[in-house]
Amino acid sequence: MTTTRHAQRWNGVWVAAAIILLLVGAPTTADAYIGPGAGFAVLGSFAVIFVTMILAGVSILAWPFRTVWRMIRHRSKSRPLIKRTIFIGFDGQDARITERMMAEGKLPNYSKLAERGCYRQLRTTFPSITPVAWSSFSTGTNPGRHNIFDFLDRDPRTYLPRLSSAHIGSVEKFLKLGKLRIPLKKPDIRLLRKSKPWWTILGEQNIWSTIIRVPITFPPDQFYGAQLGAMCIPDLLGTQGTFLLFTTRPESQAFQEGGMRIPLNRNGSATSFEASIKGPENAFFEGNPPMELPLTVDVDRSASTARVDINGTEIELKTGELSDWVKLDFKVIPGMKVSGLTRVMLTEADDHVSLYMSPINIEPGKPAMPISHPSYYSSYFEKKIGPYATLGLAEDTWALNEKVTDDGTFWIQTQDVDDEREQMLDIALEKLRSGALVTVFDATDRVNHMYWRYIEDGHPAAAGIDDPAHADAIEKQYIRNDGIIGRVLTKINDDDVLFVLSDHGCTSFRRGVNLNAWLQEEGYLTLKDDADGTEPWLQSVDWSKTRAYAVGLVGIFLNIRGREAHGIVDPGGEADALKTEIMAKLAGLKDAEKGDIAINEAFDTDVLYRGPYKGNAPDLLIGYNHGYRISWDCAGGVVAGAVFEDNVKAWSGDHIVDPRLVPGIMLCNHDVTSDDPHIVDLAPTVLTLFGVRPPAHMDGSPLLNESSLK
Amino acid sequence: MRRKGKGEGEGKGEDIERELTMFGSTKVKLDASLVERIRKFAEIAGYSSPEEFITHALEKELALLEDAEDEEEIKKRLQGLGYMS
Repeated sequence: MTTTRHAQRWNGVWVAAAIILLLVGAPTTADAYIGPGAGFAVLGSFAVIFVTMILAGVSILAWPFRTVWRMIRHRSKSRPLIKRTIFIGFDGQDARITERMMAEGKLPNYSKLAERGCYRQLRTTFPSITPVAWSSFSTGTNPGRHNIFDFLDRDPRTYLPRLSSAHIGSVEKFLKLGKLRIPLKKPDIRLLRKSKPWWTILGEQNIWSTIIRVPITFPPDQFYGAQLGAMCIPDLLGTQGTFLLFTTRPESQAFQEGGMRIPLNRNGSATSFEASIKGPENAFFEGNPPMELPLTVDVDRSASTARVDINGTEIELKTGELSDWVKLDFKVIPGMKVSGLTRVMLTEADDHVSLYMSPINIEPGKPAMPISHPSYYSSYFEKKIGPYATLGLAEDTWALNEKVTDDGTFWIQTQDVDDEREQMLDIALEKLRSGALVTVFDATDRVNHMYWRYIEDGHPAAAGIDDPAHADAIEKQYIRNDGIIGRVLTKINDDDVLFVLSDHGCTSFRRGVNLNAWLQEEGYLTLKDDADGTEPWLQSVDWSKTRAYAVGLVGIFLNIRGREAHGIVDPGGEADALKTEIMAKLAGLKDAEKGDIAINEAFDTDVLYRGPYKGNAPDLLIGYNHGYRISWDCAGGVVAGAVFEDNVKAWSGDHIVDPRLVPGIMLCNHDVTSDDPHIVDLAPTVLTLFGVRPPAHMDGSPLLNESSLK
Repeated sequence: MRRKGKGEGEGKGEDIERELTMFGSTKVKLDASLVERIRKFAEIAGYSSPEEFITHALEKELALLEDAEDEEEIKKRLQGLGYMS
């Protein structure tokens, strides 16, 4: 009897302990997109509390020893020439526009900086595009050594394009528990940019670097410093940015690539509508079904407003006004969720109702993927400045191209992202006592791309101009950049070095060139017997009869035997002769309809690049003239259609041209040693400034040295 | 690259400890003379380190063995890249 009562009492204690344990250890928001199962999280929580208490005690006792050890370990091995080096990057800021505006007195802080130190045009990479140029900035090497030749690479086994900068694998091992599949490991996410960034080299010498939004830093580098990733960070759907349009309008034509149209269905009345937001795939269930959130829209047509409810969160919207960031929590399994950020806008509330939702950004507070180093750096900024954009190409150019949003909305999106970035810069600059800091602002590039049609008479896309108020958008952006530099100048000291730079410039994109159509016309590319060339991704191509093809945005590949899956061109003599022949035909290629030269020159990348990865480059790089670029169809692998066509999209400026036509800019508060600097020179420069000898694999030369600093 | 275990003079292998970017580290034992050759030619070839040389060599071989990625998955990942239609 006593034993039973004793046992019951102990049973009660165990039950109470179990309840307390469950309450204490109950998982809160899971921060794992695909991570260990919920059971592991529950058991792990109690252990974490226990171990944390022990560690806290040990940590207090060991503090004096750790402080001494840290001082010894982090003692710099080099002899820095300066205290801090600060790089402010404005992606795509064009040299010609900058020089004109400086001459007109519109950029007073740029002029002040140029007078104090210097202004130079900055030579860019071949090709002159963001991922390539910033990778050369980071590593001090030409593309043959850092392996980024384009936004896209191609898989020679399938001829399909793929992202050149990051590999995102899928989970293959699961523990099956009924309907549930618990992923046993995280997906393989790898940065494909090779060589070694200068901040890693500085870190090896115990010199700190803060790197904010430098393109091609996803997943982030691991080094002595902090980094917030940038270009090619995907959205929560795993794409490079997919906007959603919830609409009552019948589907007339699917969006080309950037967006998804989702029916908005009536919900019992003429003013209430509902839909489902399809989120990321759920790897915990067979078939990876998408996680979903309910959405309701109640409109007041007379006031042009709507109340939007997303899974219990209510937002009041007025037609044409973009909301603040809205957090979306997708439930993975009980106790685990994955979060994203979006901005919504009611685009119409009349006969039809439509709601725009921006690409769902990875939420930086509890990111579903590795977007910063250390991993908590993204959440540090969220706590400081609130929610912010994390998507690689954060400004929604496709919604504007598809006329889902308008020029005014796009302007707000770009300026808001710039505001977020400037707040990060302020925080990082204030915190940095010694070491290097880079912050890259993206808006200039996006504004150049989307508003070029306003500054060029006769641009084919000028017909789509919806508000003349944006005629000076590009100038306004450059003036804004000048303001940022003015504010930075007030925060730096005499022993700081400041660089302001852009990776390339911009020019007109009036006409698209379908290189695959040209290759077909010239007999280098053959279609399958039953194909008409309209299929995307080169699916119409008969590889057994094709000698050259274009994939990606910058060049042409030969169909090399032994390299491509169905190659027919022998490497060596035959390939060299074919390259020479195509280069000769492309040099000075004329657009007969307009009478203009479309292509200045094609470059042999075997001559252009040096390094172990140059075999991954396109065999030929195309140097388009002002006004020309690869056509939208060709970029999507469509062969059919004319070789030349008008570009009527809002995306009306570009820089995928002969790199000599679109140099970047460089300003410094000291006079540099070169009159003709190249973006590749900046990595050896910053190493030299911190007393670190640039390694032999770097291609550039230092622009500053001890004597030039005096 | 950090050396562990037996030295080169003994003609035995060397442990190569490679720091993986995200998921910890792993060690591979290579012949000491091979490590010396890698060290010598990594710089000549333009690699930033012997580890990069080894990684590139292995990735090239693996690419010959691994299956191509799923076509639909590739297309999905490219969706929304502003420069393409």
